[in-house]
Amino acid sequence: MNLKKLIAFFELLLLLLASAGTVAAAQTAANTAGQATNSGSLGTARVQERRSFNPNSTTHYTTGMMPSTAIKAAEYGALRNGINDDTAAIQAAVNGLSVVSGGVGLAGPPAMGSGTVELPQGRCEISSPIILMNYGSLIGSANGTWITPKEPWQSSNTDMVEDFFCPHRSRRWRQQLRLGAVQRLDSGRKLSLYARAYGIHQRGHLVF
Amino acid sequence: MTNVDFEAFDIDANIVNCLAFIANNSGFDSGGSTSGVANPAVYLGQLKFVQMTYNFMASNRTDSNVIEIAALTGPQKTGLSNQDGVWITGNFIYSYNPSTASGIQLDKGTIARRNVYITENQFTNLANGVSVLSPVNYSTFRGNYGASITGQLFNFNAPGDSSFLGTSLDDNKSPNAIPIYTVVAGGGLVTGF
Repeated sequence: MNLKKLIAFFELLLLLLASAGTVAAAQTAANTAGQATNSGSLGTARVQERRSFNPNSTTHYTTGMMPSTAIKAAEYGALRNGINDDTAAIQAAVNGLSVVSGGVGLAGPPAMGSGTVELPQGRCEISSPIILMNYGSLIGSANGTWITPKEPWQSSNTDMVEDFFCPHRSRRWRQQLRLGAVQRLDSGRKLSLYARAYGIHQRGHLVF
Repeated sequence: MTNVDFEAFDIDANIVNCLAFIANNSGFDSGGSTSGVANPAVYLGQLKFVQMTYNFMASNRTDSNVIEIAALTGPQKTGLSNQDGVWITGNFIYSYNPSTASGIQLDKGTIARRNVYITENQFTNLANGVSVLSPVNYSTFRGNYGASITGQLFNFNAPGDSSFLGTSLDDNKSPNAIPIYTVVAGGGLVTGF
């Protein structure tokens, strides 16, 4: 064995020893910290820095592994074939964000999604509006993701009351909203216009 | 929201009590299409911080605004409780049928929104590009283009000497023989060309 081969052999040996040491150190740290196990079907776990996803939450991670904040509506059953009703699947994915984001339940009302729902290419039929939450994202495909209304259109009374929740308005006023008729504020407190169906709805609980 | 197309709803996007709604590179197509009422394709209710950039937005009815922005229902507050900040930039805003309505309408009101940017949009097949029916302060309307516009590209109608305080209008264009802007009521607007 000449000198060059001998040096290369020792360099390789040192590299292997260093790698083994890093793995062992990481395993020790994880065991010491009592790293939480991710649950559910979160197959896209990744390493992120230690931080809280919810600015109102005091919960911080003590370990490096946490679930990805991107979830795919297809994993929740959205078929995107232009025939099936994908409302429940997409909404479940959006709602799922508030559960899996950061890997913990978020503290305090309102629930906030802080991740991304990915909608692959296709045509999604929905029979009631998709309700987005604060900080959640919906991302379609550059190849085309369409969302269109499906008959019969449905909407829950609860949704409508929530949609128009605003602390400075009276409970009595809110109870005037009726199933099947989505009414909205136009100018001042005048109720006007009527919409049967809308595609996306972002609601909040803001105090203006 | 990115790369998602909403088609043929009464209101494609109904954004109410909203914090930080951001729509980019998406479609809000054929809004106001099925109900018997002139709903807009996109409705922006009480909100804080909205950005709509590089989207396609279109109404189907001849009397539907494409975007409606609600009038404020209460006085502006300080800090994070104010409702400043609306950016509508680089969008294609269209009516499938030559419309008697507007591409963007700020609904009639008396309280000023602030820091409203309506810039670099194209308005097509509409009566007015933008109807400003409530006060807007410290805002910018710049670089918009109107094609097949029958009224005016901008219509300002909010009574008050300082309705448009600190608001600038410049670099807007149209090949149609229409006024680029008309001030029916309101003062304070700073105009370029």
